[in-house]
Amino acid sequence: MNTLLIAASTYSENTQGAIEYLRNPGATMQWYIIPILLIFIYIVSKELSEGHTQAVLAGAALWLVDIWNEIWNSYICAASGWAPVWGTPPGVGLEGSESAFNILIGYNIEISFMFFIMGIASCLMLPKDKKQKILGINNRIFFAVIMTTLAVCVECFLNYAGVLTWEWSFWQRGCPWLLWVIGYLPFFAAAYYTYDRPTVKGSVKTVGCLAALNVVGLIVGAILNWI
Amino acid sequence: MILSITAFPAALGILIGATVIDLAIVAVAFKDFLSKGDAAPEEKKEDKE
Repeated sequence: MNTLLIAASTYSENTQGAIEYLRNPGATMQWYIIPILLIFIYIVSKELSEGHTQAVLAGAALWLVDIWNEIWNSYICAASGWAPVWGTPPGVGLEGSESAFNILIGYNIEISFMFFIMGIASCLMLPKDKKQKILGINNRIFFAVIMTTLAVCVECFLNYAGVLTWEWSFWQRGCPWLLWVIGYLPFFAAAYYTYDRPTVKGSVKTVGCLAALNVVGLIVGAILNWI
Repeated sequence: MILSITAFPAALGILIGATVIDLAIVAVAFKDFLSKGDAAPEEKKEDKE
């Protein structure tokens, strides 16, 4: 039984559903995740073999900033005793979980692969010249704004479909501003920053800093039993 | 049911702290592009590290 269940009596219905399937692969694991894993390995291998090391590191950066958000989302769930800011419940209209593996209260294995690949893809579409302007705006900022807006639109659709739950007044489809500012903009900002480091070593350092932030977050969460 | 986080001080504190860190990530990442004169970061070097 997951330790979060200890205090689950006041959790929202969606949250209780998510907790039931949290880190419970015996109840959720599905075969489709294995081909996705291989597709992910193929993408990373291909990019590395083509010399796009910093694009892969940028993917790691985006992925790590998302994990940071997922960690504090778990904290909010535990601290409030009500709900995370976003949750991945079992889903709608089907028995069992729609995810193969729910890693944290608002984070599943599909999201994990998706964000890493999104980080790589979003860098490969950038102009080579980081100074180039588009509509008078630096292209890095321009692309971050566009990608963030598209990602928020997809999130709103997922929420509408019921596979991503939002139970706080400040995080709703009619009020997506904070979602835009802290939900996605830091992802692309970190990815582009990592991609633009003058050297691979610099990109590795950036990824290392983000990884360290997450390790601290995970350790604190584990000690407090908040993840 | 949709709730306001202001009723949960601990959760609100975590949210504020997380927002500060996320915004710091954005500020660090874009500071060169947003600074006066739109100075871009150093040019990428062709390294074989």
